[in-house]
Amino acid sequence: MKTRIGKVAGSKTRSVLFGAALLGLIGCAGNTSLTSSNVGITVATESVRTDETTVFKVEGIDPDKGQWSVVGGARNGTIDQSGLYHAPSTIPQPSSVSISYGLAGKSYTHSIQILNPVPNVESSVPNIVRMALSTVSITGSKFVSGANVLVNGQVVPTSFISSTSLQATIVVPHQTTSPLSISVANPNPGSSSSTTITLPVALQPLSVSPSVLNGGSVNLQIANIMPSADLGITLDDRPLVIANSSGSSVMATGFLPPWHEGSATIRVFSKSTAIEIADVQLPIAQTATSFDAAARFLTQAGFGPRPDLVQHVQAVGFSAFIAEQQATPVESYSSADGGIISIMQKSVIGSNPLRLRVAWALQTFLMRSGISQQVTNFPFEEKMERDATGNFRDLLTDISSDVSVAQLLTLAGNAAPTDPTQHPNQNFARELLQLFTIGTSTLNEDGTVQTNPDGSPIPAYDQATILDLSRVFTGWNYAAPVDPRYTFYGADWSQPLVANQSQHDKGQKTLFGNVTLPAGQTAEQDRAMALDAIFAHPNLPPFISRILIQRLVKSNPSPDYVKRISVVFKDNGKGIRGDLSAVVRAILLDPEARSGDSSPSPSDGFLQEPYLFETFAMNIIGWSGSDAQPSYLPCSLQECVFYSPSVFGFYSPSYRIPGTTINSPEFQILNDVTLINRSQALWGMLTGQQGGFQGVSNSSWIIQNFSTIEDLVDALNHLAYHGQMSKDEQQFIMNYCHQLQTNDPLLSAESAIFLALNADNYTVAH
Amino acid sequence: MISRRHFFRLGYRAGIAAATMPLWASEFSRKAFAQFSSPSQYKAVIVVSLTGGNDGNNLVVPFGGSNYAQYASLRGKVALPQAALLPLQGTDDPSFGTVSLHPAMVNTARRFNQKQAFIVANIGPMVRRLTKTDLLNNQSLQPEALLSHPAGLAQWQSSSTLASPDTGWGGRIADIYSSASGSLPPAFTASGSSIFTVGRTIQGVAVQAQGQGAIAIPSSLQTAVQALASSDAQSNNRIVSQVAQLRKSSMAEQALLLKAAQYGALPTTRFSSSAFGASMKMIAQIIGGRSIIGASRQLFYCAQGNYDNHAQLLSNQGSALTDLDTNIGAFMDALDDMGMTDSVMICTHSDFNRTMQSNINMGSDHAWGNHQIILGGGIAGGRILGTFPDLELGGSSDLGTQGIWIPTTSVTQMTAGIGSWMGLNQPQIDTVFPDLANFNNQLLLS
Repeated sequence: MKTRIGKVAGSKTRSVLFGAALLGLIGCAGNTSLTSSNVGITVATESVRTDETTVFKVEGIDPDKGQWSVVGGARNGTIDQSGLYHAPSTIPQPSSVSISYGLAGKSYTHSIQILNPVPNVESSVPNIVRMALSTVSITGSKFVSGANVLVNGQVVPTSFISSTSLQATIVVPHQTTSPLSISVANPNPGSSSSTTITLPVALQPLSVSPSVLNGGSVNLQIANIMPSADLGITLDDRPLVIANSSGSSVMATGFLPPWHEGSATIRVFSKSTAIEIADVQLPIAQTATSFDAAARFLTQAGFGPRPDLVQHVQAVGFSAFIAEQQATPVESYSSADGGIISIMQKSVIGSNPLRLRVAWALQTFLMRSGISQQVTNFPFEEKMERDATGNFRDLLTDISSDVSVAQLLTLAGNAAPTDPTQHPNQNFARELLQLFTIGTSTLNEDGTVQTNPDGSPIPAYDQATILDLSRVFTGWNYAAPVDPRYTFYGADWSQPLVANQSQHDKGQKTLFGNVTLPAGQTAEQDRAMALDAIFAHPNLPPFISRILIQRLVKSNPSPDYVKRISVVFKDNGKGIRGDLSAVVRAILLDPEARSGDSSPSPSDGFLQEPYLFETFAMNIIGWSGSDAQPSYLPCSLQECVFYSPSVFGFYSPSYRIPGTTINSPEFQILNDVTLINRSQALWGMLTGQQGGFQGVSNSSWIIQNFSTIEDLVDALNHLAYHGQMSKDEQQFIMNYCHQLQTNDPLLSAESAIFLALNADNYTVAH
Repeated sequence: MISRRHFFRLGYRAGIAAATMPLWASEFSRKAFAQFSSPSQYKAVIVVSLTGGNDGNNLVVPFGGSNYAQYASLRGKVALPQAALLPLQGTDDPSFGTVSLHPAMVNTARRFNQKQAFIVANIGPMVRRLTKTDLLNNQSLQPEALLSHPAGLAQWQSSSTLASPDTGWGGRIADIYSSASGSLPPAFTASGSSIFTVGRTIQGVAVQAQGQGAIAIPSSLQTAVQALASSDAQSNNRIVSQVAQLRKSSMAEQALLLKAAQYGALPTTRFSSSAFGASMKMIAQIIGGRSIIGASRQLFYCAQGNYDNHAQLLSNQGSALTDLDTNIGAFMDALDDMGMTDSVMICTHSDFNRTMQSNINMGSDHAWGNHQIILGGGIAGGRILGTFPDLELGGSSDLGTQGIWIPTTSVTQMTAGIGSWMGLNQPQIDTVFPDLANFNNQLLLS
C-alpha cells in the first residue's frame, strides 16, 4: 500500500512503501530529500528510535530565520529551533514523520522514520527453570507490543503484558542441563534484540503415577509439568486425553494395548514446537501370561477371545482361571428362558465359559433329540454343564436316563418281548458303546487302534454284547409328568426315565465276554452294573480323552498327548477314575496344548465349527442381544446345534480331509457351498444384515479403543490371531481399507474385521 | 423356505455373479459349446444313499403265497399287508417267487415293469464269498465294524470292507474321467461330505439345492478374500492350507454350477418340496446344463431320508420311501423329457439292511445283506440280479438269530458293473475296484 506522508507546495510528493522491504527503503532514503531547488534539509540520521534525538539542519537558506516544526504535532515528536528533534515515546501511525522548516512563506520538509526502542531485559521469574514446559515472566524495559522472548536465540510463544513485562512459555528439551540464554526482541520497525540474561535450568523429572502400568484403560497423574493447551502426551505412540489439572500436574487418560509388555513409553511434547519434553519409560506390570497366549487359550477354554476375559486370564493365568471356572456353580435355566439363545448368551457373555464349552464339547458326540419346544434342551444342557466338572460315571447315568437321549435312541419303551417275533431294541445299547463311550475298535491307552496280524482293527465288542446290553436296557419308560413347563408330547423332559420291572428282562447277561450280570436283577441294578462295566472298560479313557482333546485343542493330538490324558482319566491323582475336571485341566495345560502359544505347529489346531465360528466372532465384536436368530445361524452351515440330524451328530471324530491323512472332524461340514455361506453369514454379522446382529458397534471394545485402521489391525492380530497374523496379511488388510472410497465410517472397520475373521488362517484355531 | 429362483437372485446380488462373469467369459470361449457332448456320449450315475440303513426286507418282499406267509411270520408286527404290495411283472425268483415292492414304490415298480429298472438282491460289503461257518469261525472275515452306520455307509460308498476308507468308488472313477469332465470335477455331492465323491486326486463339488438366503458381500471384498486364500494355501498349517485351497476354488465352481443349472429348460416334472426333491431337481438341471460344464461323464451323490428306524418302522419307512419314489419318478420323467433316460443311471445304497425280526418297538435293528434298486442307463431291466437269502431265522443265511442276512453278492460286483457301464475298460476296473479280484465277476448291467 502506498501512503502519502507529506506534501509541500511546489515540491515533489514523496511516498514510502511500508511492508517487508521497509528497512531497505529506509536504508536508501538518506539523501533523497532535496527539493528541486538548491534549498534542502538534512538530518543526522534518517531514522530515530522512540525517545531518542537527532539533529536536522537546513542548507541554502538562512538557518536562523525560519521556523522548525513537526508535522502533525507533538504526537509525532518535538523539535527545537536548533533542529534537535526528539522522537515520541511510542511509534506514531504512520511511523514516518515529516519535519518542516518554514521561512518567508515557504516551507521545506524532510521525513524521518521512527523506530521501536531496543529492549532491555533485567530478570525473570522464576529465576530457575524447573519444569520442562514453563511460563516465565520477563521483567525489563522498552518492551513493545509484539515483542518476543527468545530462548537460546529461538522465538518462543510470548504474551505482552506491559513495556516492562512479558510472559513466555518456555519448552525445555528433555535432558537439558545447560542454562538458557534469554533475550527479548522488539518487532519492526527497527527490530532489535536485547542483551541476554542467563536462566539456569534444573529440571525436575516428571513424576508419573501409577509407577507401574497395567494394560487396558490407563489413568495417569503426571506431576512436575505445567498444564497447557500446547501439551501433548502419548503412551506407546497412542495419544492420551489430557484432563483439567492442578498447577503443576496433569491427568492423562487413554488406553494401553494389553499385549504391550516390558515397559511403555510416555512421550510428552509441545504440540506447537514438536519439541519432546520428556520421554518416560514406565514398567508394565508382569502378568501371569501374555495377552496373546490368553487370547489363544480362550479359543480352547471358552467361546473365543472376549476382551475382558482375555485380560482376566492374562492376569490370573491358565491354572487359576481353570480353577475359578470349575469352582463356579452351575446356573440353572428356567423354562422362562428363551431357548437355545439363552444357552448361547450364557456361553458368549456369561461368567462361566469353560463349563459351557465343555458342556458343548460333550454334546457334539452325546447326541439327543431336539424338539421344536426349545426349553426341552435345558434339562440335558444343565446336566452336561454339571457333568463338565463331575465324574464320567455320573454322566453315564445322566445319558442313560435322559428323555431327550431316550427319544433319539428309542430307549423309552424298550421291553423284554413277550411276542416271540420280537427282540429288545438294540439302538441305545449299540450307540452307547459305539459313539458315546468306547467306539468300535479296541484301543491302546494312547488312542491308537489295536489291529489283527492282517492289519484289520480288533473289534471292541461283539454282537453278543450288543444283544445282551439291549436286554439290560429293557423296562425303561418316561416318568409321569411333574413339571408342566417341561412337559411336551406327554413326556416331562426334566424327569429321569423310570423302570417298570415287569418289562425288564431279568435273565443273566454277559458283557464284553467277561462281565456277568446275574439273573434276577432289577432294571436299576442291571443298568448300574452295565454302566460300571462300560466305565471300567479300557477303551473309555483314550476314547473320551481323544474326543475332548479334539473338541478343545486340536484335531490331531499325538498318541503321547492322548496317553497323558488317559492316565488322568484313569486316575486323577487321588485314585478317582473319570474326574472330568481333572481331565479338562490336564487337556488344557498339557504342553502340547500350550506349545502353540509361542510357536504354532503345522498340525496344530481345529477348524472352527459353525457354532464356535459364530460365538468367537460374537465375542470379538462385542455382541449382545436377546433376539433368538443367532441361534439359527449354525443350522444354515449344516450344524443345527442341539438338533442333530442323527445320532452321528454333525461330524465324526475320525473324519479325514479328503485326499489327505489329516484328521479334521469339522471339515466334514465344510464344502464349497458352506464356505461361501459362512463368509456371507460373517459379513451379515458385521454389518447387521444377519438376523439378530446389530453389526460392529461403536461402543465395542475393538472399535472404541482402536480408532485407526493400523490400530484395529494390530488389535485383530492380537485378539483374533494371538499375534500370529503375518506382516503381509496385516499390510494387505490395511491397504485394502485405505483404498476404500466411502462415506460410511464403519465400512473400513467392518472390512478389516471381515478379512481377518474370514481368513483361513484364523478360521483354523491354532 | 426360500425358492431356488429366489436364491439365484440373491446369489447374484451377493456377488456370485461378479465371480461368474469373468470365469464364464473365459469358459465360454474356451470350452462351452465346442465340447457340447451329444446325449449318446454323455453318461452319469446318481447314487442315492438311503441314510440310516433302509430295511430292505420291506422294500423288496416275496409276494407269492407261501413265500409271503414265511415273510409275514418272521416280520410279525412290521409285516406289510400283502394286498398293498406292488408285484413286479415277470418275476419268478427261485426263492421269493413273484417279487413285489413296498407300496410307496409306485414309480419304481412302473419303471421295473417297463424294463427300465432292476433289483439287486441280498448285496453287501464282503471280503470274499463266505459261508455262515466261515464267519462264525473267524470274526475278522467280517467287514470292519459290521453293523455300524458310518462303516456301512463308507463301505458302500468306497466299494470296500474298510470302516474308514480314503476314497470312494465315485471319486476313483472321477479320477479317470477328470479329463473328460469339462470345467468342473466330474463328482458332485448334493448332501455335504461323502466319501463316495473323493478320489485320489478328485474331490467332489458340493451342490446347493436349496439356498439359505444370501447376504451380499462387496465384490472387491471377495477379490480380497481370494487373495488371502491364495496366500493361506501356502500355510505351514495343514488344515489352514486345506481350507484355503477349498476356498480358492469354491466361488468359481459354484458360479459355473449355477450357470449350468440355469442353462437348460427347467424340469416340469413333479419333484416334491423335500430336501431330496430339491437335490434331484438340481441334479436334473445340472445334467441339462452339462454342455456349459463341457462334461461327458458325471457322478452325483445324494443322501435321502432317515431310515434308522429302531421304532415305528412301518410309518417312518413308508413316508421316507414315498419321498424317495416320488422324486426318483420325477427325475426319470425329467430324463425322459431331456431324452437322457438311457444315459443316466440311478442306484441306491444304504448303510445296511435291518434285522428281519422286529424289535419290541416295532422297529428293526442293524443287519447286513440288503436289496438295492438300479434304474435307467438303457439297461435291460425288469430283472432280479443276485440271490435272495433263505428266509429263516438262525438259518444258513442268518449271521445271528434275528435275520442278519449274509450277502450273496458283493457291493464291489454291483459298483464295478456300474463302472463298466460308464465305460471303464478292464485295467481301469481293476484299478478302481481292487476287491473285485476276490469275486468271480462284476454284475452285467447292460
